[in-house]
Amino acid sequence: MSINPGTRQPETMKAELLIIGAGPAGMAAAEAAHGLGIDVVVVDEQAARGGQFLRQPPASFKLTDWLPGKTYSKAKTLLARSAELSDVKWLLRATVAGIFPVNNAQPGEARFRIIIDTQDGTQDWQARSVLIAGGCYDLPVTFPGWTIPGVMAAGGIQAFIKSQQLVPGQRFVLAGSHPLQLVIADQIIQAGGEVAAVLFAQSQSRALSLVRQPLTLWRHANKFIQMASILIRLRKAGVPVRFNQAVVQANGAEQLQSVSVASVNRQGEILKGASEEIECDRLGICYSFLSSAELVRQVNANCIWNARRGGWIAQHDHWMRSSIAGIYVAGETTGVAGSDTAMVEGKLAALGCALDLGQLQLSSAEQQALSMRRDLRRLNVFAELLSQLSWPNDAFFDQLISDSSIVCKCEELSAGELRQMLQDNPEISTASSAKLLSRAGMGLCQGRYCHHAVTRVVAQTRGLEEQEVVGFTSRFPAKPLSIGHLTELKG
Amino acid sequence: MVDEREVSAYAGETLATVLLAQGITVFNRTLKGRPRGPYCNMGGCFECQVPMAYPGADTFNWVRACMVTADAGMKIVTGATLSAQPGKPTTAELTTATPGGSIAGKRP
Repeated sequence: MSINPGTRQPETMKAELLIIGAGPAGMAAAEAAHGLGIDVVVVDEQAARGGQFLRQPPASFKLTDWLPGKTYSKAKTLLARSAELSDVKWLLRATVAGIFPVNNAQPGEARFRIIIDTQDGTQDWQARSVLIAGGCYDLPVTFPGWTIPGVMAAGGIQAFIKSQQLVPGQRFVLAGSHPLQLVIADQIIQAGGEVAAVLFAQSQSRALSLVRQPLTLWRHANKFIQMASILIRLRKAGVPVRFNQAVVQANGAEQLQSVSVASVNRQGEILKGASEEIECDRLGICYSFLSSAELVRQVNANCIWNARRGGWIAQHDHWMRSSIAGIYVAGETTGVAGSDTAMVEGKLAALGCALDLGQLQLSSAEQQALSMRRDLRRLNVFAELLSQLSWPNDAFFDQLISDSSIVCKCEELSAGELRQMLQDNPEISTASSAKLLSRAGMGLCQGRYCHHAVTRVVAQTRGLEEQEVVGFTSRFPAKPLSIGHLTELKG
Repeated sequence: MVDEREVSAYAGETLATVLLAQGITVFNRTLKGRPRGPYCNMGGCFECQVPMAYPGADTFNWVRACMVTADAGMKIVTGATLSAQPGKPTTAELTTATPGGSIAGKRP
């Protein structure tokens, strides 16, 4: 391949507000900002708007009942409205590789340079404000056999059904601790697949503890009614839903053949010896979610570590401003809380941005923000309760990460090898230094799928808290970029 | 074309869907020869990568199968035709699997 730098220089494009992520938060922010007269561009890596929540089938698929049910109706209405926002530029199939502050930016000028990779080359953008609403992904969980073809993130299985009308397997097992796996089991059954079992690591009483809070039950009645009808459908279909059980190993050489299941006691300890094997060709892992925090961390916005709310959580003020002036955050970036929260936060961020750009009076903004903030308080109580009941304790994951399990799938490093390296190098006590030592996190996924496991191994070996292990440094480019595309950039 | 074999797909399907619908679960192999297939299905894990050549082109580049829409005339090589022998160079295997093709984007 020949590289001719300079033959095709991308021109710089400008926007007042550049929104990263076209999911519920990004769409809501785009609609609100557009309504306030702000010039908006929205960037998303997927081929269509809607985010992971509304993974859409291609236009060529003729479907009459895509994502039925109340859960999706609000976001689907927003999705339909967002298609009408003619002045908003949607940059789809486009990946933000980096956000850089512009030195000595004058008031009214662009404060950020954003490098965006597309199939046709690199685009160079300048924006006064940036909203990071990058969403989240399924928490990768490390255990022996998790890299065998057939083991998937439960959300990945769901995306095949939602957007591709494909049931990616015959016989499924779902294992985790998050109630979402019941929704996914239901979607698999409805799409014609067989679910051999849904396994929850926690006890039934803990999983159902929300029901014992009358106020929560009443305020979020819709969610409970939906969950009850799903449970009824699963029972009718003969799907066993079991508690205090976890998949501790995936078995198969070229393809998943079965999973080994062990009992888990109330303290989250996996009991050895009491193993059972379930035959299946597809395993979905559904414990929790990690926020896609790489861009927030790349710009050095303040984050706190909260494993059960999504790992690195961007801190923000009551207008969704991050600690970096001009950078706003919304949706799962501020802690995993679901699409309803994301839509409200997106709207609020648009108000904050309009306020800072001088396109909205403070009194008017405050008035509009009142009901949004009330909604957020209510939704956050629910999200916090949900994360408490669906998070197994940290030591639970340590037991799954046995020495033979692959910690870093890209560099093929086992947990045993990493533990040995830590033992031989007693001065290493952060994730970043463990990365330099072991290559864990240096592969194509850039540590997205090992940083939690590496953090756990270092924390456990050194007797530290996860936040003390700090995590990998987030650098440009946020996703792999071809050298050919990189050389098109000026400066 | 998947591994030199002609397959059909619905318009709008991703490469990952086409392969799974064909019963192919091993999308690629690691340097140690271990099989890998889709994990996240949202462009983040890079487990579903396959070498792909655009219609009419004979240069193969690694792409995420879950992020590329299938198009008539595309050529893909998968882990089904790659050797499971550890230590065998993946790119050499790819070249034999695609006569006349050259591999541009080597998996780093």
